[in-house]
Amino acid sequence: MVVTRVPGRSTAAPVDFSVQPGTRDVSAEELPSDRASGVAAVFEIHYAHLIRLAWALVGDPTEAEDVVMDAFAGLERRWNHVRRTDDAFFYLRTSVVNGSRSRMRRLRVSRAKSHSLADLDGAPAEQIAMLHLEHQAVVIALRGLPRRQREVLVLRYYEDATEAEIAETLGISPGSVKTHASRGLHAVADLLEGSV
Amino acid sequence: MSTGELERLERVERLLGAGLHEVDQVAIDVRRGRAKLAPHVTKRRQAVRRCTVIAVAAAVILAAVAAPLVIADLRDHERALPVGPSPGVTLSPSGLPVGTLQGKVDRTQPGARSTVTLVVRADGTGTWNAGSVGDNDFRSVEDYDVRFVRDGPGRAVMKQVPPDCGTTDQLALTFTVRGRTVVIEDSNLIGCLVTQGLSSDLAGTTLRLLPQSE
Repeated sequence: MVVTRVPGRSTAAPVDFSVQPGTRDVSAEELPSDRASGVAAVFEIHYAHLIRLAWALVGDPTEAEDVVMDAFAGLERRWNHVRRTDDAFFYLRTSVVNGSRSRMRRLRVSRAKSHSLADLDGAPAEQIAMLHLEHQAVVIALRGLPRRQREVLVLRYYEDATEAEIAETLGISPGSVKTHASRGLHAVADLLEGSV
Repeated sequence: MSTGELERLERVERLLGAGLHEVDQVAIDVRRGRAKLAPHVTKRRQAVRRCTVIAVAAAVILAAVAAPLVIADLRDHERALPVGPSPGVTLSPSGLPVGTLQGKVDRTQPGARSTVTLVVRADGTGTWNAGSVGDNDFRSVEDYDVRFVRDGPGRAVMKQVPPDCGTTDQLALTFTVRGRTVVIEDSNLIGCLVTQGLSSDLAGTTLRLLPQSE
């Protein structure tokens, strides 16, 4: 069985993409050719993780579920192009990142129209409250970042994606990934200091 | 970068990793997700189909609206060309360009369609094909040998050789050569080279000189 490097968690030095922590494996096994059973198999393996990734990106579990469902619907349509579980995973991850971006845009518009007092980027209060106190500030700060910086940091520190994987997922150059990561990290640091 | 700055960023990294991974503690209801997947896929498939239908319909409407405008524009462009042949176009003694001329006739008779083709040779001989179907049950898709005879400036007579009907079987054409096109201004039939209906409908038809037929 071929094993591809994968998402997991990191405690790497500042934006050092040479570090390859990775705690979870994505197998590169062949998938069933039957569309329904293939999608079902991929669903069992990746659904929970993708929900958490989308949640980290959009900050709302309900929206995250819609984003992930859309990604699986897209996978189902393109099933003929997917041969292995890692193909499916990388397709789904890109779909989730892109879907989260569109969802965030729509949420911002609808919230702006309804003049909601809710934090534009924030999760519902009870979800924030679930976090340890010291982590609340960093998650809230992350949501205050520009879109690209937030996406790069989430892929880096939640997915443990390499610079090349992030570049491919976001459709940007590796150099841009470094720039966004560095700026994002500094911005979070500054926001945290400002919030203390 | 100073040591203090590095430590500050390392602390932020640790916090980011730990903060983002707290969501891993939350139980995800996979069974509920599985139950929602099939209806969601069906809904998305329908939405994609609906979008495709709308896009195709929009494209068809756009094409239907744009095509006449584009055609009219092309015709205007042709009409705006100066009278006379384009460089490289040779005129036969009859005044018609040498080569294969072809054009669709705008028929008044319902159901009739004609794409006429004239082959004009430099020696004045050639062929004529009415390319007609549905013309009072008359079907003419054969080539007829003809001779093109000059009848004054912008006028030529197309005579069938030998004649099928009586002693004269001919179609007199009044035309204007513009670039690589020939606009038939008027036509006058004697005999049975074409039907009377097609002869009348020929006026206004634009014949185009087919590429590499000169």
